[in-house]
Amino acid sequence: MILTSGTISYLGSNTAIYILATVAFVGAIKILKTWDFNSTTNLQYSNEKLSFLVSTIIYFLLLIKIILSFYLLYLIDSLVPFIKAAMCGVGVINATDFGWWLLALKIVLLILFGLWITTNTKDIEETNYPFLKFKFVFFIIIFVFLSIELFLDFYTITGLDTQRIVSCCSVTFSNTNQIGNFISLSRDSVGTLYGVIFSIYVVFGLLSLYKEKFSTYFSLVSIVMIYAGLLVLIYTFSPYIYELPTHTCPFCIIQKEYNYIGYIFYISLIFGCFFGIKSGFSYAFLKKFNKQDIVLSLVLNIIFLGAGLFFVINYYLTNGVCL
Amino acid sequence: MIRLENVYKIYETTTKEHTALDDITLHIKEGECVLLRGHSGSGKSTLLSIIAGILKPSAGYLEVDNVRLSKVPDNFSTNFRRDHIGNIFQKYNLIEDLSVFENVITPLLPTDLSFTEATNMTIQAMQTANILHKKDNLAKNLSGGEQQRCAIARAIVNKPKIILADEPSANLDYDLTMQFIEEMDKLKKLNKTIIIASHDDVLFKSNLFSKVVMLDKGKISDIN
Repeated sequence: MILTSGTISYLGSNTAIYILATVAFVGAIKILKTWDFNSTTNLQYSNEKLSFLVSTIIYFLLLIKIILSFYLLYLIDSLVPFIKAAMCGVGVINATDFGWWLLALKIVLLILFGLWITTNTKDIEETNYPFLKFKFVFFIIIFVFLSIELFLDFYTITGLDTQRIVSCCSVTFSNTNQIGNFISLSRDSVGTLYGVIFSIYVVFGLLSLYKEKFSTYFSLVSIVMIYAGLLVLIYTFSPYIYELPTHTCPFCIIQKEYNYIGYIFYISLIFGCFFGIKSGFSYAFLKKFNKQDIVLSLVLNIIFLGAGLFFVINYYLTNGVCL
Repeated sequence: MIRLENVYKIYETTTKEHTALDDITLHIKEGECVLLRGHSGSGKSTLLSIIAGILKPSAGYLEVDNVRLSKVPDNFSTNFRRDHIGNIFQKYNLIEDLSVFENVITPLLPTDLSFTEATNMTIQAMQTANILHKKDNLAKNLSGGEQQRCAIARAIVNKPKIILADEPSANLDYDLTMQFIEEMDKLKKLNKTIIIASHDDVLFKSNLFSKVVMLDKGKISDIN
């Protein structure tokens, strides 16, 4: 285990938040068991007060979790010097058993947190708590994921093997590696695949602006866009950012040497896709449609694509060739 | 206009419970002027606070101006109070270092009204409460009666349908109490629903009220 101020504060914050989440979980169960909006009994009024408290706790802890998720990227990067042969965060994650699963879970949870906050915002806009049961059942599902996440957080951070000689990012994400073989696509093919998915995404985005019902499809394509975006970032854009054809890595781009440009990519991609998912979620479950979500999603994903293309075009203009 | 059905309010501490309101059922029509009468601790102020949406009942149902106030979340009852209810407090609760005008306009600041609209409404309220001539004086330099009129102007500035007053004459002598009754009579003619909690005999003997509700130990003992 590597004890640094970063790992201690990360695990400490997550534990404190999990304790708060447990309090909210117990409150949510209690409310769900006895909720009857039309009742005017003492129990119901207590439930209404408690629901406000529980919602506030959940809202607060989810906002902190969103910040902590991005902090984890920074933390992983700060642990590089402790791992043998690690050049960036990829090496650190390779020194764990479930590090990649933890990162995937973080992305899923980020989306779920955002959707819960959306539901809560809609619920408190109304006077009759129309989505109260839905949002607390939703939170119970999130709580299950939070439990798994806390276990993985501790298992990953405390289980970091400083003696294990790890592969660096270029090996991990090369075409001869397992992950590279998993997609079985060349750099150009990944770019083409992303281009196709992006086009479908834009078409559904524009259709959603015209007719609300398309927002459901738009949100489904947005889910695919997260995966496609990560692939294109790693296999197509990153060599142009590093200006090295063999260097394909999702982590080096968040280092100082590359001006922390990775954060722009990750924030625009994840939030862009989140707003796309949110639009369909709101339409299907909350009976609310917001064009701003679609526009925001499109703008953020265009920023993601634009940032990636900037490096490609810049490389081409400087060197006269593509990688 | 105001409907309370089987309302209870129980204050709980770690060691004991105190029932401030015990099964209150009361209907008040629009434009009625009601006096809540009773000794100290009989539940008058608690009842006013519940009608104002400041407190939630422990059990029972409250409807004010067709809004189920006992069921709405706190953020809505705050907005409802801002838009529909004017409060006059026993100690007036004026901000001493602000002028009369500034005190009266304060409830309009968190609204969407423009400053010109808010100013016009403030002047109108000060005229109705007969305090316009003191608009630039600081609240701390006003006499008791003037402070009372300033508090009335502040309570009516948002043009509420309902005016609630808690022991408004507690700090007033007989003459000022009679002035207060005159001010309330003016508001009554504007079809405002007025509810005053007081144990002052001067108020009780006035002909301002269409209904007198006697409270005793949290229960309604009599309605005239």
